[in-house]
Amino acid sequence: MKKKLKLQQVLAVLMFLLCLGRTGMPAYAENAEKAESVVRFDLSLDSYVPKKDHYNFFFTYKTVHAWWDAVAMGMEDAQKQFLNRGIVVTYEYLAPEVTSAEDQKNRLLAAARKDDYDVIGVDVADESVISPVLDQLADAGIRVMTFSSSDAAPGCRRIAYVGNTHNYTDGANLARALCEKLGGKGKIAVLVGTRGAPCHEDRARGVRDIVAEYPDMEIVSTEYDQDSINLAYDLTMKILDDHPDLSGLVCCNMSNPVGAARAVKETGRDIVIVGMDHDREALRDLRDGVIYCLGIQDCYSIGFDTLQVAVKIADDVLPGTLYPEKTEKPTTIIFRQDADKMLELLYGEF
Amino acid sequence: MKRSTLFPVLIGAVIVVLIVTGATLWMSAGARKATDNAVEKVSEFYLEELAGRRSQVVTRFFETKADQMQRAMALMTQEDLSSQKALRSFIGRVEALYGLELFAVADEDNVVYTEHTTYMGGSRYAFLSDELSQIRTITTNAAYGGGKEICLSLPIRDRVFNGKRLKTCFIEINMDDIVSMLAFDTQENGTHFSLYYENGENLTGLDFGPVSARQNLLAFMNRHLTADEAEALSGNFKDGIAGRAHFSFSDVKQLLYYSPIPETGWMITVLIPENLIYDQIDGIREETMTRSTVQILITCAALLVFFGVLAIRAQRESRALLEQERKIAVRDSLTGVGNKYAYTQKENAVDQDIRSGNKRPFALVVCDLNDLKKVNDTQGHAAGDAYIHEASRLICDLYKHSPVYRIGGDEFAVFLEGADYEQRNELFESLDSRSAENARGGGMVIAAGMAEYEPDDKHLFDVFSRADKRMYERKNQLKNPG
Repeated sequence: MKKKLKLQQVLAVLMFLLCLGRTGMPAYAENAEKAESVVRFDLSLDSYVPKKDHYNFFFTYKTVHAWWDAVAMGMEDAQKQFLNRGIVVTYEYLAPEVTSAEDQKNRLLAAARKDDYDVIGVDVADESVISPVLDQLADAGIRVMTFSSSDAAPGCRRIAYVGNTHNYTDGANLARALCEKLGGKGKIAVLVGTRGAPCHEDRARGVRDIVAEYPDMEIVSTEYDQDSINLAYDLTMKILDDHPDLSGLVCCNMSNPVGAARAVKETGRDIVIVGMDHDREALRDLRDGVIYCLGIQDCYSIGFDTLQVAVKIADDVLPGTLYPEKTEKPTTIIFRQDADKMLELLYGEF
Repeated sequence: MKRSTLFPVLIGAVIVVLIVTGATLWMSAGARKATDNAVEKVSEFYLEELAGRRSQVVTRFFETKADQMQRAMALMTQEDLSSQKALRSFIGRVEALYGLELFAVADEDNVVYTEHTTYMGGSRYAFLSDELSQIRTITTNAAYGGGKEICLSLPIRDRVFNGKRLKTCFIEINMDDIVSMLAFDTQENGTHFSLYYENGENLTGLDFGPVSARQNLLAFMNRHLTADEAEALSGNFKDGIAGRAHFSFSDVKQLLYYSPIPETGWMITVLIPENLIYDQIDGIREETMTRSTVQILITCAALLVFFGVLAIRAQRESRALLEQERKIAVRDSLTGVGNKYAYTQKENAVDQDIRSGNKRPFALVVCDLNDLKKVNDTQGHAAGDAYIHEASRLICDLYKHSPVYRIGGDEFAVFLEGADYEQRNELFESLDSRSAENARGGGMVIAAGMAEYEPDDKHLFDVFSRADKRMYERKNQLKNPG
């Protein structure tokens, strides 16, 4: 199973590179069949034999949101498979209602003080705030890992990361898709998620760098919705109001495209929206042509592998042959023709 | 006369047959329509019963689970709430006790506690909202991964864990358990069952007749119903109202019945090909129609026989009456021999035979009764009539094989053919000698003259004239003997 997973990862990277070589973008879902491989729900535990029969973990992430619920589904399936092998894995998977690096820091420190967890994992809300905390915990002999969408800052002594390793590229790919759609000219706005969150900031940076390559394109506004759909809607309405000649919107997280699409539908403006993730409403907007494309991350695999890697870390197995220091998870850009298949795959919606 | 009698009978017969046939067909059509209506009502009642029974099974299932959850919460002690470990242990015991796949409690911050996991449930479970957490709910979520997450939740009172109020307990329900409980896979007599969510999504993962498990039922029906019907169907699903829809798929008429399952947002659906219903009753209908047809044929045959017999009898009676009238018309009322009219008819017939050259030999005897006036004058007309009658009988007794006609008050004619013709002279001699004898003795005297048909005769009258002349000659001889 380990070999199988590694082979899949190698193939995914190869495809990514091939796509980059051809179009400058990774893993486009060119048709509905390919869309099925964007997210995997048929994962099985690898052949690693855990050393203990009970593990207890603590995970915390940015905010209560459906994206992390999808990650949780992968974790829960991995947990069930461990249980079927007679290994009990218990964990806490908690987050604040509103993204807050300080809240995350406090949760991590509280968990460390509790001294009851084999591994503490975090989806970093703000690398500048959280990376030092992780180093502090590591120095205290606590096993720490990062997962999901945001790793810690380079050089942080966390043991491993499972999740999206190419947020900058994801942002760049979305921006390039938008620029090409608009013919390389026009004014656009950028919606970002949580200020300071590495995944969101990296994507925004990727967007800015690509747009800079087009002399006739201009970013007229950049706003942060703090992972709130309602705020994304309000911000978009304001942007549309302030810029009557706006042509496009780049949405860097899961809540951005939902709120943006609501505002665009309400105003009836002709705006090209590109965005991230698999929100059901956003997929319906993609199907209906309101959204031009979406970058889909394999949340289920992220959750599943997070738990597998956590068990190995708890057994003091360091990254190497059994798992990489960074378990990469691909992002696939899907278009309107893939929307139906994705809705069926993710939500059973036909 | 024949035509005038038969025609009304036949017309009457046809009218009666048409009325009987029409009435029978009308009654058959009415019976057929009534049967169809009855079948439709019974079918709908049948489908309603099927859906209703299964709906009750599902409702009872949730009632049982809710009861188990309440009992479980009643078992929860303060010790179970002393730590996360104790709480998880309690939850594990409850799951084992009631065979639950997942039992969980959630606190006021929407933190969910299961046997092995603690996680945030606010974005995952709608029933954790402030409003829904106050009541019992059955929710169906389209979970990430394409599955349906069915949860039964109950509000919790007066429980605090880790300084937070516990507000809700819930269980996750595996749809496969409900499907196997309802035995949807053992479809009855071509009848299909399924469960759909209010938005038309299939909940069972099973095909529903022509609707594949992957298809949204409302989207499917949109293609097979009129816009108004489809809108009504969607409205009923959304509002949880039972109803039915008729549609055709691959030229097969289908009847869809749907009934809401309380609290769930689900519709239990039953689909039956209508031909299945009508196939069942077509046999009955065919038999009924055959019986009606046989009844019509028997009735028509009986009527035809009846009217046929009636017509034949009428015809016979008519003929008899005609014959009687004809006899009266040609008979002399006093003597019973042929009258003048009968003689004229005979004369016409003989003249025609003569003209055609086919006339066989014959002779004519003309008789005249002497002294009739004297009898009338001296003895009265009654005696005169008796006198004529006696003369007639005498002539008839003599010419047994020949028609006798009374062609005048006291004048008779006898047409001789066959045997009487062969013995004409002997017979005439007998008549004449008797008259001669009576003339001498004072009895009845009949003067007679006879003439045979001769080749030159063109008419019977020629023969008659010769016989009449001879009769007068003889009459004079008899009046003046010597």
